[in-house]
Amino acid sequence: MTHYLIRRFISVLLTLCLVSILVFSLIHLIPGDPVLVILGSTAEREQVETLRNKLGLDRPLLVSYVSWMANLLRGDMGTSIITGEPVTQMIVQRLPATMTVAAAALLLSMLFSVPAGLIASLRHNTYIDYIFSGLVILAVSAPSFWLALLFMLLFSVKLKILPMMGYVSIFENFWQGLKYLILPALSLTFMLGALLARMTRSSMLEVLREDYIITALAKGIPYWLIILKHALKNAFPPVLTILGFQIGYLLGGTVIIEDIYSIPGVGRLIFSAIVSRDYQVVQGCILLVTVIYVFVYTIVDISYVYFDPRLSYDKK
Amino acid sequence: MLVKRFIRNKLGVLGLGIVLFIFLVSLMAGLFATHDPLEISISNRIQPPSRIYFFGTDQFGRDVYTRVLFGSRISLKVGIFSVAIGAVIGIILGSISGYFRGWIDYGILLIMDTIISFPSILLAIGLMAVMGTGMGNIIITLALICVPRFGRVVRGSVLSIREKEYVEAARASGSGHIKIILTHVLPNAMAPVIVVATIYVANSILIEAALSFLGLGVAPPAPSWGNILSDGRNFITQAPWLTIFPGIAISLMVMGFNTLGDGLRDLLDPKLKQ
Amino acid sequence: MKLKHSNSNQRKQPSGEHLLDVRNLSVSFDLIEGTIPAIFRLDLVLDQGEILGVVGESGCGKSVMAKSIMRIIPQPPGRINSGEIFFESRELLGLRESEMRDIRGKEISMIFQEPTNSLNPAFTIGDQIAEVFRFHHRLSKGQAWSKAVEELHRVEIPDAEKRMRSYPHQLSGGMRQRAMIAMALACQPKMLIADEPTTALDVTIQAQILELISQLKRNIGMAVILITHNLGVVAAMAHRVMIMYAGRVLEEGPVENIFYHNHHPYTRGLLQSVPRLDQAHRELREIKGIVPQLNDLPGGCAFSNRCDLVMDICHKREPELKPIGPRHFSRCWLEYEPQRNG
Repeated sequence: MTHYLIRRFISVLLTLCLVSILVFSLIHLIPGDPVLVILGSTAEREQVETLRNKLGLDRPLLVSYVSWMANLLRGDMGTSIITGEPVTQMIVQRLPATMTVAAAALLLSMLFSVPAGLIASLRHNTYIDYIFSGLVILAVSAPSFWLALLFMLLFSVKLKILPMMGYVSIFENFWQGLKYLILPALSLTFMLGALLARMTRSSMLEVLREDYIITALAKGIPYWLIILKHALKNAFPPVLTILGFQIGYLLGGTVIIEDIYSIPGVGRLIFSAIVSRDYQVVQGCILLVTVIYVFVYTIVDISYVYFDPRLSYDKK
Repeated sequence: MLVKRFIRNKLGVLGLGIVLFIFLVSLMAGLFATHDPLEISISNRIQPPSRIYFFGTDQFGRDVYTRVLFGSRISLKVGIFSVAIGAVIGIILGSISGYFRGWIDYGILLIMDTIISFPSILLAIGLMAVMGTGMGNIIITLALICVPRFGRVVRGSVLSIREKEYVEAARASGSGHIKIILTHVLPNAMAPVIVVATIYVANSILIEAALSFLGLGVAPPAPSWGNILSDGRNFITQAPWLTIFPGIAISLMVMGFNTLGDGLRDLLDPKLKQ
Repeated sequence: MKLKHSNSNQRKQPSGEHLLDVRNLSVSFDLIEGTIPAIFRLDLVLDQGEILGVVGESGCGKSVMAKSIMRIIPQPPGRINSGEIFFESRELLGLRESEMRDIRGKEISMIFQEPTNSLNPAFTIGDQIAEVFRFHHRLSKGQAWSKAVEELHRVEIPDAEKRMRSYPHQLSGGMRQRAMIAMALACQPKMLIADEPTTALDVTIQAQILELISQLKRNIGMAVILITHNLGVVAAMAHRVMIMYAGRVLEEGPVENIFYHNHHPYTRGLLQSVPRLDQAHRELREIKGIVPQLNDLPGGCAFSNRCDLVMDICHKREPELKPIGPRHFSRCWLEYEPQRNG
């Protein structure tokens, strides 16, 4: 098991290295002179020189990469061209909000979708199943930002029971925070929940056909336990896969959701940074996104083995 | 025979119906429209739905119904063209990668996986910010997002097909690589491609709407559904109809392509069906 | 010797004398293709300590019968149309599900053919065996675990303590079957239904497993329904044999009779199609034709279209199961001539 973790760790490191090289060289991929693109063609010479120096574009590639990496490992991701703040600080400040919304969306979707998919699989081909499929199709087709606007319309404008915009951390004030959290999380839950529910259902249907389910029946195990213990554990891996894939959706979705609900999160930061060509911030955010990705994928990968012991840690 | 099976699948038929309906609407948008989509009429701004303005008017007095109708053209164009271009390039790359294996495979796979692992929205935003707004750029961006996904699917099929006997036989009889790929490998790899193509069209439509909503897509005053939603957001209290109708349109179109894809999947690979 | 045409019901002793008494069991399946009659008016008795071998080709209904007794047929699409199943004078088909659950795994156990997929890959075998104790004997986790270790010892799995933490895929086929047996016999059931327990195993392992079953049966004193299509297994193990075909019993009797004084042409056909080492130059005789689809049976006797000795009446009326000797029955219109054959 330790062997496996070490190997995993090394491959994670390699991936991160590769990505850092990619991210670093991104600025060289911008057509034209990147500095002029950022500052505009009417910028003064002094500004241009300063920025060029800051971005390391006046030094040979390798040198600037090494110094960039060195800074990175110290936690210094540069400073914003627009506001002058250190990028690391900007990201760290905004990360909790985004993480909270994403986690809430994830939790909500798991809470609804797994039981829903389970029930649908048990009531296969009945009207409950058809209603389920219908809801899934609708939830998957509605754009999350539209849902966000609809929720805002219904709950904030018409019913006036939830705030329209803004954010309060649930760690500071739980109930207030919850009020600000629920609509953004809900907007992301629909698509995610639908995909998870659909996969839970189809996975359960397959598992329930397996021989070991009959064996469990023959042992005299009550049906509810067969479903919740014997079947569910075997049905979970594909659901986990979907979860892993949907992290990308969550990360991308937060951009628009945070914009709509005025949540001070990383998504909004990425968006404004890209649009205003705040290159250092963009770099830092891309790195962050990748780290999150790799982290999530690794956890998903490792948890597979818990659910399906046939995938051994150490390949014999 | 295939058609008969398809008809039995109610979902697929529904999807096909919706897609055809939307095609029809967009083609004949001019016929169904009641006004000019770009015509401004300040005296009629922010009017609720009525018999003259079926979906109401926006902040410039433009008829929302007509704009939604013409918006379907934008969504369809973007969806279809981006997927078509992405598919062609993706198929080429995927077949080369899967057929020849080795370093080429490794290299292409690496690039494809890197692009796929990035959240599509973020990639799209980044590219559009660099390239500038406009339909052409959107199509290029979305095509780029599709390429590695098609590539992966095709590569998977090719990998399994190349082991089959008839490919070996063709190789043994001296056929050139390209001929083998074109005549034996590709036709059998097409089934999953068609299925995912419909789903990627749905995806592209969603991303285009999101981009336009954020102001990075098709530039106003073009009646992209995302644009209308963006207007709606600024006038959400005064003009809720600006939010409701374009969203329904997007959902409908996405639903159509998604269910069509589901139906095609059940048709072409019954093993996947429950 | 002429035989009396007696009603098949007359062979029945009143319930309470047999451990298992199945009467007039009919089971069908409602599928898209139509309703398939899987078992047709089947009677079966099993006494304490007996081993009943149930023989037949694939699709003859052996498994369905076993699962019907355990009441683990999925209904739908399955349907138990008629019949009564008396186990120790309790009628099983009328029991509530919760009562049936108490019986499964504790009084009547079942083991299956393919242990690869019959054991849950996500849990250790220790966990799966202990589960039986936790449910039927209400033991705590720790107690159940130690009892499970004992069971593994009993089925002669080496290194039992360590093996408890193994997952099914880490064991060989033979060991997996032993684990299944441990699981089934944990609560010392009165009856074991073994559905082709050795079919998927290597020949040498087969013998070991059969020996294990024999031994454990002797220790616990349980009855066994041994389902197989292998006549050699039946010869070695069974006291009585039941030959099934197309959901019906065609012949049934003590193992000696079935092998040496059999009556039904199908039985004879089965025996003649088995290669025998002591008759090296004998021709292998096959039964002509193929097993019919259950919803497309020939009229009259189900075997009539493949029988070498078929008569007119065979096409018209299906024979009843008639006694042709002490505890020996046959479903055939032919006269019985007990000679030594085979």
